[in-house]
Amino acid sequence: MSSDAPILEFQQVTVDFGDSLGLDNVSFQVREGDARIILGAAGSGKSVLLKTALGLLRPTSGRVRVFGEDVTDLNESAWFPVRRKLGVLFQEGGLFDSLTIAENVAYPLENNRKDPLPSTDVFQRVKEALEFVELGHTLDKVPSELSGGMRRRVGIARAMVTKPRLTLYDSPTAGLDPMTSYTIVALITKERCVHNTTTMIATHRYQDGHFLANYTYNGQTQSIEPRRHHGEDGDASTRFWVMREGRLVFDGTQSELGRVDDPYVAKFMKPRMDCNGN
Amino acid sequence: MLDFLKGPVFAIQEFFLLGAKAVKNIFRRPFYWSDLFVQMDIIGVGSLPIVLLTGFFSGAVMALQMARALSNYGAKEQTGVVVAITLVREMGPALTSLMVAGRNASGMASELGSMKVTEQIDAMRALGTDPVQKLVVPRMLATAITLPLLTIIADFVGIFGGYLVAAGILGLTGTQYWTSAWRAIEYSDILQGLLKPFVFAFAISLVGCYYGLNASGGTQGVGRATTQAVVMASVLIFILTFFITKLFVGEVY
Ligand SMILES: Nc1ncnc2c1ncn2[C@@H]1O[C@H](COP(=O)(O)OP(=O)(O)OP(=O)(O)O)[C@@H](O)[C@H]1O
Ligand SMILES: [Mg+2]
Repeated sequence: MSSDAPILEFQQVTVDFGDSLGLDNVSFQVREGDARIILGAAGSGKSVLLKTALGLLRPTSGRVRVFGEDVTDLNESAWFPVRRKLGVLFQEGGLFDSLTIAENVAYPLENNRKDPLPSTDVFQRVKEALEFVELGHTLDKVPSELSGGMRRRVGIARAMVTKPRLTLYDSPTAGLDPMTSYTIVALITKERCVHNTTTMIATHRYQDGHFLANYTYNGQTQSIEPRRHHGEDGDASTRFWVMREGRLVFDGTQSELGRVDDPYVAKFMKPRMDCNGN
Repeated sequence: MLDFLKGPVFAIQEFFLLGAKAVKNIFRRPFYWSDLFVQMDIIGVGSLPIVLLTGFFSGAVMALQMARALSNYGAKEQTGVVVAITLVREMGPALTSLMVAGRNASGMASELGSMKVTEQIDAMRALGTDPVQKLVVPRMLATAITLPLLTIIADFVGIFGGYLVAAGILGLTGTQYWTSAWRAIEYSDILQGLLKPFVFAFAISLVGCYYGLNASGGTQGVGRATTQAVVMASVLIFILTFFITKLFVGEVY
């Protein structure tokens, strides 16, 4: 597969729930190394978009391609090998509360029956992933013993432990205080820069996108630092989307987003004027 | 015009699809043995105290009531017969299943429901596990194995409860009670008494799992799913018991 082929592609995808449209004729392409910030009000279809990309929801019409493979008509068991190549952090966490933190993070590795890893390797990978999110000391705890922000970080560790080429983060900062949100977005940025992971984030917070577009992780100093701008757009591989009622109403760079007049789209640019803190 | 039927019809179709998929998956690998044993422990061992209590007292109550009615015909010695037959054919299966429905259909609906609303079910699917295989099959099999066994236990302690009343209060001898009870029960009674809990087991577990897996709307949705599961499972037990009884009674006459 050539490196130009889109890693994820939607062609006129509609997801109809009967009483409402989850996605309404959505088309896009995401290429290797790209980042996408999906902004949108509550109920605008951000989660539905990510779940459709994972095959957890089925399109009513349109085509979905993942890593160049048309996955629209795959049945559940044929989806498993495709999903294995994707990382995902769920909005509600999705951590298994009957398993320990280490078991949760090991789950995607141990569940791979096709080519299983030796258990020492699994442990090593789990430890690495948890240390990456700075939770190396929580291996034997269960999710209910951790704070909301820590659980989110465990979710990130579980999403990245298989070293996926594409990772989907559903509202990673929702319900967290600004400091914790900063930690989470910094981790996502670090994961993106260190492993060159294609990244899609659904979020209410424009700041999350701003951070991802303008900051980078320096492996030498092991710290987050501002990206060196190549023009006013900063990083052109980072694009912003705005969703409204299942439709993709804006697709562009950060500065293009700043120039939009549409009040719904512009709303996401002025985070401080939104009294909900979104 | 028939739009209001669309929801229920769709739900029934989904329910049967879940049942079919669960039955088909019994023979699929991987089989989650440890989940099966955990569920058998929760459903079988966990329900034992309540099944013992309800079984014992329903037998005792029945002996009291029946003895009064039978003594009108001078047939008080037949108390054991009536208690045994009613328990084995009808009350044992129905009461035990209703207890297990109350405990475990609700337990399954709330457990799977919480997993659904916290996206653990989605996470499972995303990480390569089939939720039907991992969650529904073990619960269904565990109920199908343990419910008939629980019923046998309930029948026995029920007849024993009846004996205590017959001997202690009514003044019957042990031989009178036990021999008449023993002679009264036929193979078809036992077959009927075991077929019922076996069939109810599928209704209870699949209803519990179905409502759990279809929960939506946060914590409130889980509560709703739990209540609906218990109500639906109990109603199904009454409906199914009618049809199975009809099957056996139809054969006799
Ligand atoms: N499984 C489903 N069945 C029916 N309707 C659904 C389902 N999932 C989502 N919806 C509906 O689709 C719409 C979009 O939901 P979605 O969860 O994608 O919103 P969102 O943008 O993620 O919102 P939030 O920011 O609150 O997470 C909503 O109206 C929702 O009610
Ligand atoms: Mg969402």
